[in-house]
Parts: sequence; C-alpha cells; structure tokens
Amino acid sequence: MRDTLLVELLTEELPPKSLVRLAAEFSNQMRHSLLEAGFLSPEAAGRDPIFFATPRRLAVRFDDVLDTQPDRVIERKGPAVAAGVDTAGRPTRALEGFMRSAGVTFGALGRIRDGKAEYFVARIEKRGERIDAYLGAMVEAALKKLPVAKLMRWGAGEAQFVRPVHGLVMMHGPRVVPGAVFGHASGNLTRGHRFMSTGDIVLPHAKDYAIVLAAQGKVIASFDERRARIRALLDAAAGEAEWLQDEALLDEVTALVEWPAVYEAGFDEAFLAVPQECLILTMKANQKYFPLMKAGRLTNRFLVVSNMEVADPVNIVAGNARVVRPRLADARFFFEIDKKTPLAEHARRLAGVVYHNRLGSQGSRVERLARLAAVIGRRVGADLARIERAARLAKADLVTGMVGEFPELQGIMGRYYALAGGEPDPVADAIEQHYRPRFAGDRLPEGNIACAVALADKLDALIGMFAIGEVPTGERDPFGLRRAALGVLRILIETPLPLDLGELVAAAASGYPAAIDTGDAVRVRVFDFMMERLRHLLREAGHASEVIEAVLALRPGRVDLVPARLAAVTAFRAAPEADALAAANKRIVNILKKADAVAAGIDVALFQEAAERRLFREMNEISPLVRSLVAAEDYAGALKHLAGLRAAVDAFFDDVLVMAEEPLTRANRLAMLRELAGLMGQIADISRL
Amino acid sequence: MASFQEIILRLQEFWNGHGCVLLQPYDIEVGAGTFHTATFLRAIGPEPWRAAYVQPSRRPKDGRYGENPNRLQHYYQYQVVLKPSPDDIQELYLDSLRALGIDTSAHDIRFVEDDWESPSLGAWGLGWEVWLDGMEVTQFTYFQEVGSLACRPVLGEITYGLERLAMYLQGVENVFDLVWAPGVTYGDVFHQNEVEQSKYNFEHAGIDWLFAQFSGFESEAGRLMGLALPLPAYEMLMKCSHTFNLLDARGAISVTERAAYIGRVRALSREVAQAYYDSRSRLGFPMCKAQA
Repeated sequence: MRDTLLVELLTEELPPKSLVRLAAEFSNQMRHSLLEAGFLSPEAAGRDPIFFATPRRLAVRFDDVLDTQPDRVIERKGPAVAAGVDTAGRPTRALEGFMRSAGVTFGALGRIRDGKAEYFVARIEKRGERIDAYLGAMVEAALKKLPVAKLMRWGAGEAQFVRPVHGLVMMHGPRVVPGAVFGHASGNLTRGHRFMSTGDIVLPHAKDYAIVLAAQGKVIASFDERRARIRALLDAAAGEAEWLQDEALLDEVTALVEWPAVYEAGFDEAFLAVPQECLILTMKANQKYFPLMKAGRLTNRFLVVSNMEVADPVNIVAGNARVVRPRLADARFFFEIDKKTPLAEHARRLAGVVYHNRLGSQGSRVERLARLAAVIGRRVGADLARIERAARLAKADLVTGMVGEFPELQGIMGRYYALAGGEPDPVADAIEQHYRPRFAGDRLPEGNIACAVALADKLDALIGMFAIGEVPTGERDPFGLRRAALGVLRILIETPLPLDLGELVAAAASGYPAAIDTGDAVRVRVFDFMMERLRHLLREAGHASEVIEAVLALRPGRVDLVPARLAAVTAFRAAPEADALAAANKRIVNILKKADAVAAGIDVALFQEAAERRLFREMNEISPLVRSLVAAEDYAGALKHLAGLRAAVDAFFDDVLVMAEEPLTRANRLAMLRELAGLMGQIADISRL
Repeated sequence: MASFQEIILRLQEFWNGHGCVLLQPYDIEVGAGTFHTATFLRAIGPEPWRAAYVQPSRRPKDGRYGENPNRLQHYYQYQVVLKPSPDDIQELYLDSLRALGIDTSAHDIRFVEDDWESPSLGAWGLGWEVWLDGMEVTQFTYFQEVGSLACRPVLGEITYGLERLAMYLQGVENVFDLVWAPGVTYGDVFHQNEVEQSKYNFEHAGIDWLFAQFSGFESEAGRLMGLALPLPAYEMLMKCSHTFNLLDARGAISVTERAAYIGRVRALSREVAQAYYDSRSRLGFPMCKAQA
C-alpha cells in the first residue's frame, strides 16, 4: 500500500548556519536508503525532496512510499562451475557449502557467465518485508552520516548527535511505524513552539504534518516557507524605508525561529555620526538585526526578527533597543579613540605585530609592499609618492580598536581614518580597495594606485607563503592563497594591466630577505599555481578546455592578453583549415621529439621536392606578417594567415619524406619543420586542439 | 522589583529545590565559575553531581576604571552544574527564569548556538548563549571534554551573568545603578574597587614580579603533582591562569608568547585532570556509591 512517509526528529536548538544542510542531507540519505530497499520507486525518488527544518526539528516527507517491499529475487554468485562439480558431475565440497549457506538445492542452481568462466548462481526469492523492519535503522544510519562538524553526547547516554534528541515521529500514512532512534521510540506525537504551544500534538496522518504543526503548534515547519514569510514581514514592516538585504542573514534568522514575527526598534540618531559600516556590522553580526535604509543611507531604525508573536511587543522592542545601545556606544568609542592617533602613527606599531612567525612582522611586510607597489607603479605609470603612501598605510588599521573588535572592517576603517587624517582620496580609496577582490565576484580595485597596492599585497603573500611551504592543499587554504592568486589574475585581465606575471613574481620574490628562500624553485611554483588558477578561471568562464590548454601551454606571462588569444584560437578552431593544421602540428611535434640532428638553419640548396620549396616560400612570405601581427596583439589576424599555409603543409607531408636516408637532407627538412612549429606556436600550441 | 541580592536568593532557592549542593565561591581569583573545582574537577569521571554557587569572576582586561556602564573587571556569575545533564535541563532553566519573575510568554527567549572552548583548561563543550529579548543573559554548555578527558557522563553547565540579568530585570542602563539592597547600589559596593583595580591591572601590576609568580606557581604545581596532590596542584593552576590574565592586561605578553603561555597552563590542566581522575578512581568513585 502506498502512502506518505514522515520522519521527524525533535531536538534541542540546532546550529543555525548548518540547519538547512543537515535537513537536506537527511532527506538525501533517506531517499537513497528507501530507494535501495525498494520502498520508494525510482520515479517517486526523482521528485523534489520535501524536508522540514526548524531550530528544534529535522523532518523529511516522501509521498508514495510502499509499506511493504516488492518481492525480490536475489542472486548470489557461487563457485565457478569448474570448481563446483567433480569429473562425475557431483557437487564438490565448495559447492555444497555454498548451497547450504544459500539454502538451495543442486537442481535449483543456475549458471552465469562472468568474464571467461562460468559460475553457479543461487537465485533466492525474498519476500518483501514491512517498512517497520527497516525504518528505525535507516533513520539512525542517515543521521549518523550528516555532515556535522562537532558531535556531542548528553546525559549519561551513548548517543551522539549535533544536539540532544528528544523525540521521534515515524508515520506511514495514519500509522505509526514502530522503531527507535538514539533510544527514542517512534510515535505520532510532536511538540509545537517552545513558548506559544503546550503539550503534545497528535499527528493524525503523515501528510498533515506541516498543517497540523502550523495550526496547533505555532510552527512553520518548512524552512523555505518560513524564509518567505520573514521576507514578507520585513517588507511590510519597512514601509517607506528599505531593509538592508542580506541573504545569509535571512537564512540565519530563519534558522533561529519557528514562528517569526518582525518588530521595529531604534537607537539614538547621534550614533549615525559613526561610519555606517560599523553600525551595520554591529547590528547584523552581533544582534542579527536588519538595519533600515533610506536612499542608501542608514537610518536609526532596525527590524528584529523575533520568535514570539505577542499582542504587545513592548518588552521585545525595548529589550532589543537596550541591547544595541552599548554595542553602538562601543563602536563610537573605538571610532573616536582611533581617530585621535594619525594613521601613520598606528602604522608604526605594525612592527610589533606578527604577520607569520616565519615571515616576520606586519611592519616588515608593509616595507615590502611599499617597495613592490612602487615597482608596479613605475611600470603602469602611476603617482609613485601616493602609491608608497597608500602601501605604507594599507595595514595600519589592523592595530586600531575598531578593527580589533570587527576584523571584517579592515580596509574600510583604514579609509575613514585616512580621510580623517587629511590623506588624499586616491590614497584613502587604495587603502580600502587593496583587499579587493575579497570574494568571488567582488569588485576590483579602481585606478592604478589601488591596483598597484592590491597586486603587491597578494603577490607578497603568495611568494612568502610558498617560500615557507604554506601551500594550499585540498580544502585547506588558511591564508586565502587561491583567492589571492585569483585576485591578481582578475586585476591583470579585467582592468586590464599590461604587466608580465613572471616579472611580477620575480619582483615580489626579490623583496624578501636572503634568509627566506624565494629562489627560482619558489617562483616557478608560484607561477604554476597561478596558471592552475587561471585554468580554473577560464573554465568557469566557459572556454573550451582544448582552447585553454593550447593557450596556457605557452605559459603566458601577459595574462591580460590571454582573452584575446583565447578568442583568436576559438575562432581559428571553427575555420575549415583548423583540423588539418592541428593534426600537422601534432605530427611535427612528434617528429621533432624523435629527431636526432636538426640543422641550424634552412639551406635552400638542399631542397629536392617542389613541395619543400613551396612551403618554404609561403612560410617566408607570411612569417614577418605573422610576427608583426602577434606583436600588435592581433592574434586572430595572425592565425588567419597561418591557416593559409594549410595546402602547402598538406602537400609537404604528402610529397616529402622528412626522415630521409641522407643525413643532411633530413636535418634540413627537420629545420624547416622546426621553423614552421615556431611560427605556428606564436599564439598557442595548436597541436593541442 | 528584585534587588541584586534577591535575585541571587531566588536562584539559590530555586536550585535548592532541584537537588543542588549550594556551595560558596572558590576563594582564589578565577576568570569564570568554570574554574571552581565544583565544575572543572567534578566534570571529570563517572560520579554524579549537582551544585550551584555564585562565583566572583575576574577579567583584568575588561576593567574600564568604573567609567563604562557595561564593563567590569570583577563581576559575578551564578553557576549551576548538573551531571549527568537531565533531559529537561532547558525546561529547568526556563523555570528558573520564571522564578525570577520573567513571563516567558511576553519575552523573546532564544537558545542561540555558541560553542564554548577554554584553551587553557583543555576543555570544550557545545551549547548556546541564551537571549532574553536580544540580550545574552546566560551561557549554556554541555561539557564534552575537560583537561582533554572525555566527559562521561556529560555535565550540563548553566552560567547566569548576574549583572546583565539584574540590569534587565531592574530596567537599568548602568551597572553601577543596580540596586544591590534597598538603599545601596552596585556602585556603592564596587565602584571604587573598579577604579583602583583597573589602575592596578593596567598600570601598576609588577610585571617582573608577576612573571616570577607565574613560573613559581607553575613549578609548584609540578612539584605537587609529583606528590600525587591534584587538588593543591589545581589551585596553583588557577593562580597561574589569573597571573597570566594580569600580565595580559598589562600588555606584557606578545601575540606569539600568548599561545606558549596558554599551552603551559593547558599542559598543567591536563595533568591535574588525569591525576584527579586517578585519585577518585583509587577512592572507588564514592559519589557513584552514594547514588546507588
């Protein structure tokens, strides 16, 4: 009989940031187990999963679940036929043992072929079992597989889970499926909201779970539904103003309430003199409030997502307003105190702050940044004095009270304090922007000053960390080096900046003292790491991987030119000559790999075939053109000319025996191929297409 | 309106009714009620235990010369420990708030994930901070490990921040305005202490002398461990920890040294925890028998 299956685990308050992941994974695991055991048809398993997640419960629901598995035939493979019967055709001991354990007679055995040998097989009819025999174990196994960072025990029990477990509902349609999980027997009783509901709630039918919980328990069980409800409540409460959108915070508050209500509270307008980033962060990070904005500016009002719907929210409003006051006062205190010391003075204290115990202090890092940023600045033609100033002040806010309290404000506070100290806008902006891009899709630093400091910041970190072996592995990247590498690449490509990555890496490396080995080996590793990141970046951007490989095979230092090369190669690939030229290139590469002696230059006098002369002539005709087009960064134009060589190349391979007997002729022909490969390899390694 | 001392009295009365041994503060400077032997040591081993007590707590770095309405270098925690943690521990806690006169249907009370870790005690647990209309008034922890020993059974710890709770209940904005007893404020009792102790903590604590003290307490702890005296050794550990906090407030410990000092305290706490376990084991875990 098919009906809806419901499993609910009641718990103490679950960690909000992993709540949805826990519920979704619970649902995945259950679906997998139910499908495998035959209770769920593949078609039903393919539907969108239905799961529920509140602070105090994880639940899953599957429609169309069988209460009894279909009967099944299970095949068990026995010994090979050769080993299973003796010469007289009687079962050997091995086969008898197998028949005993499988519970079948000799006559009932089948045979199957597997590879070269034939085997006996027992086909055992298995009656479908009731879900009651499976469900408890399935649920417990699924819960044990959840991605939980830290498991806990509670009381005197042995069970381990994210938080203590208090109850279990397992129902198939209207029927309780008996079983136990973590020592709790299943039932049809659940609990509602911690404060707005009392006693047990009886669930009459699995399919009514969410409806009954909402009506009797004051719980919106569905995470998505609750989230949508909060959004609507925030919209309504904001009125004329706008609440500050923040999807991650919305997720978090959704995971902290079972029955949301939104209330408005406020704070003294005088606090608005503090930079709004500080106030917003204080409200969001510490209190999980949604600040109200008007025309992009923070107001002194905010919205609280509460778990209590009360007729008169006076306590809740007053309480929350009271909590935020000392926090804002702290922010104002830090801002006022920090401003009293010039940023350059703060910067001096960086000498006493450890950057990494093997790479010295933040102070010495800042020295390196100033030098490196100036080297970069010289190449892009920026105001060197300002670049150095920005670099020297870039890290100064790390020792301020505000950033000590709110590390997320690094850079942002530096900009405010720089402006307060009379620094010019480009310097102040560079201080803030040198951390960019801080996350995937973040904006890039703007202008040469900010770009120079941003590049210096990231390159210095990459070189230093690679030098001491702090290289990202697997999931681990504690110093954010992948992000740093990606940042460098994005700045060079998207700005774009005509800088050579190899030279940048070398310049960064030479800033370190001799005691830290930043020699060739380290530089090559950093460069390779960047190429690997570039490969990822380009794949994500949707470029074909052969095209990427063809371009990256040249290890292009000028990454700003990579997009043009990619576009040219992509266009070339669509040309009718492409396949033939790629094949020819592959052939040339293979021939040259095996070649013994290649002549230093091409000697016309040694030509014997018309095809040789033709290829030589055509190559000579286009060679200067191709090289000048490449120099002018017209890669598509260069490739178009190269495509024109196709007929000559084909003819060459058709008519000419490269590996001729005569050594001089052979060396001469190899020299021509080398010349051809060099010409075609100007833009990309065509042989990889 | 409940005075500060009445709040304490009501909590005492409430937990007295739930089988707790009502203890007095530990008479050594500590940073939190967790350091009290009634929590730290009693969390170790199989013996059941229920206790409640007020613990004066010192955080030298948090001093603000009596000028900040929310920060103190000396304040009070009300600590409740229940081992094994009962199934209804959250409900018990909420009942204790009701006993303080808080109508739980008119406020927004929430258990917000906040896992606890004390690197110097080699201890960690999972739990929440409890929000009362957005204000954190209690820390709630299921101890998982202490002195690097697994807690079996688990001890449930409830730590009320008495000043915060009282400020909320009395509707007061400044901790020094709390009514301690009729006619006497928190400021009357403690303001001068905050001023003077802040001066001591930040300006006058003798750095060299404190460093010497730290080493002295540390080696004394080691010596006592050699004599199989974990309880006196643990007191030396508490003194080490407080001395470290003073040095930290004086800015005498750099970021890199910090980890090394915490590591030294942790190493001690590990030894003490194991030695305490062994000593209870030799005694045959007497509290288990009492229970049976």
